[in-house]
Amino acid sequence: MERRAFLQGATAVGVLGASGVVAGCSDGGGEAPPALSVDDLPPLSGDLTVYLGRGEGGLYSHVVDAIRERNPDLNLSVRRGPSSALANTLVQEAERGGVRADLFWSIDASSLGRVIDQGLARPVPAELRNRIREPFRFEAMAPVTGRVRTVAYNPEQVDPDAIPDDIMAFADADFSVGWAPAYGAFQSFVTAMRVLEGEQATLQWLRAIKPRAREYAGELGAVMATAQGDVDVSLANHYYTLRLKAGKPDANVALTHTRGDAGALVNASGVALLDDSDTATNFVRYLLSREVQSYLAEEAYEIPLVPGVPGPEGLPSLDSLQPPRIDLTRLGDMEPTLDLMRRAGVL
Amino acid sequence: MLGKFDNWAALAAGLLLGAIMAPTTAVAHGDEGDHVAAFQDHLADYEADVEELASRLDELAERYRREGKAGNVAEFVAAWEEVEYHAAVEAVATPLYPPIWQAISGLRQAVKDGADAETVRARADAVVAALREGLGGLKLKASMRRAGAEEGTGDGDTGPAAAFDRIRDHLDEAVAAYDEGNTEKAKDLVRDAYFNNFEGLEGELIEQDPALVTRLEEAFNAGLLGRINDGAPVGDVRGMVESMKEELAKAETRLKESADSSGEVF
Repeated sequence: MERRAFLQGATAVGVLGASGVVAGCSDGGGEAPPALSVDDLPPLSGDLTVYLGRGEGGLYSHVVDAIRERNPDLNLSVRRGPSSALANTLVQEAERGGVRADLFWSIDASSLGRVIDQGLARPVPAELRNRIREPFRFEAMAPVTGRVRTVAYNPEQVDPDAIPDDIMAFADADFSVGWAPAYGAFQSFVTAMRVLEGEQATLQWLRAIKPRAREYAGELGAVMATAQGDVDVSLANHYYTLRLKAGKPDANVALTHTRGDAGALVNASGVALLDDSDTATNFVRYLLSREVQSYLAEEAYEIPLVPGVPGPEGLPSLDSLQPPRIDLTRLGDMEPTLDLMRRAGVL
Repeated sequence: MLGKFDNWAALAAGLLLGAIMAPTTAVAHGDEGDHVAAFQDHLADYEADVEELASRLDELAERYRREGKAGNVAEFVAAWEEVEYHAAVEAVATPLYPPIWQAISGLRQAVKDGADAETVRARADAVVAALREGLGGLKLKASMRRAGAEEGTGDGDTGPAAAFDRIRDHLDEAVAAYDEGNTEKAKDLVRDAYFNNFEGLEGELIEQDPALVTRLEEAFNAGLLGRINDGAPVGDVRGMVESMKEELAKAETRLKESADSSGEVF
């Protein structure tokens, strides 16, 4: 099974393409054109307030700083904080008379979902939306980059052919699992499972895995523990394994994916436009430019969501993955998920 | 070895505490009250509120055990919504607010389902734990405000250098708190240094020096917190912190070298 072994000695460079199997709120619009260069974009000017979810080691801040430097007539104010906290702030600002930001760049779709659910996001202009790959086109958010859920496994301990390609079948497997239940990415994964499979099936899955699971504070820790042989497999976003392999090419860890279920969820960072100004809309065009997308793919191992930009080294193309059909903005409905996890004794 | 840590579960729970760096904001439910603006001066009031709520929960669980039925959970909810602590935790320690409601929801469900007394007691205890977690968040935030160390959410330096500075400051403050006998505050500061600062750096650091990440992970979680949990002499804790600061200096150098050699955005 070639797909299971791509990280073992892999040098494959993912060339991303529209898979047609991921779904969100796609509204058609045809194939997206190749990403524009910033040289093709209008200069930004005027006032702009951005709420920026902190993450990715400050790389998003580098992007914002670079846009500011390139546009001296742009009076850019940035408020940084955890994405979930900024989403709460926006909701509260709205309740008090109006949001103070023009644009919210969140590291995860669930925080955007909270803002969208409150009716704070303006529609993404169709021309801009259609520059994003199908099926990552949403009415109220513009995804910037993606990250995919993966199964990281220790090839010395697990035969990759023994790893199910159905995440629900993990409940019947016998290998030990590393996970980080308190991590937002893990909770989004469970939310996707709840949406796709239903509450009862998710509860049973959590309860079945729990006796064989070891809990880690973060997903990097879970992946490192897999490489060290402390657990057989771990459930984590793709970039932890890619980063570990970059630093330690002989690390005993490889990646595989499930198919068409929550175990292969592609989540996204993204932007909600909070006003209709050209400056805000054009700021998003910069985020979708060839240069910014390449930078985030190379430095943060994130998956570009515009055509013509290579994905991170070591990750197969989206064409070869089979993410589930799910509206990413539904991942913001976290409370029932936390309740399920608590009932299962996972939280 | 990471997998041999014993404290991961506790640390995972600390994630929420680590996330209390949220900006102070208005509450979603009605007026927040003047006390919220000066929340650091009202900690004793909030602590009294929490103890009052804990007492109510104890009575509720005890009555359930004794009489096979609970007191009215709705009455507890009304009391919880009434206290000043409610507005403070919602506005100041925002990420710790939803878990309180989630714990209450768990209690309400157990009562509604006619669960056994042990389960109801456990759910009530979970609410108390969530309330106390929120109080701990308020205390940590207050200590940072007093020290002038409250993290801004403006447009200041939020790069790796600032994160390393915060980590070092937190570790020094943790030693001072431990020396004063304030073990909980010391642990909160270590957790905050790890979850809200170091964890954001280690993804990139792992590419540069995986062994260094492993050593620092172990130092944060097993080494330092383990010593504090074990009640080690303050000299041992201080020595551990000094050793960690040497490792952090290496990490900062590695990341700076990496940044110098990485590409530009444009």
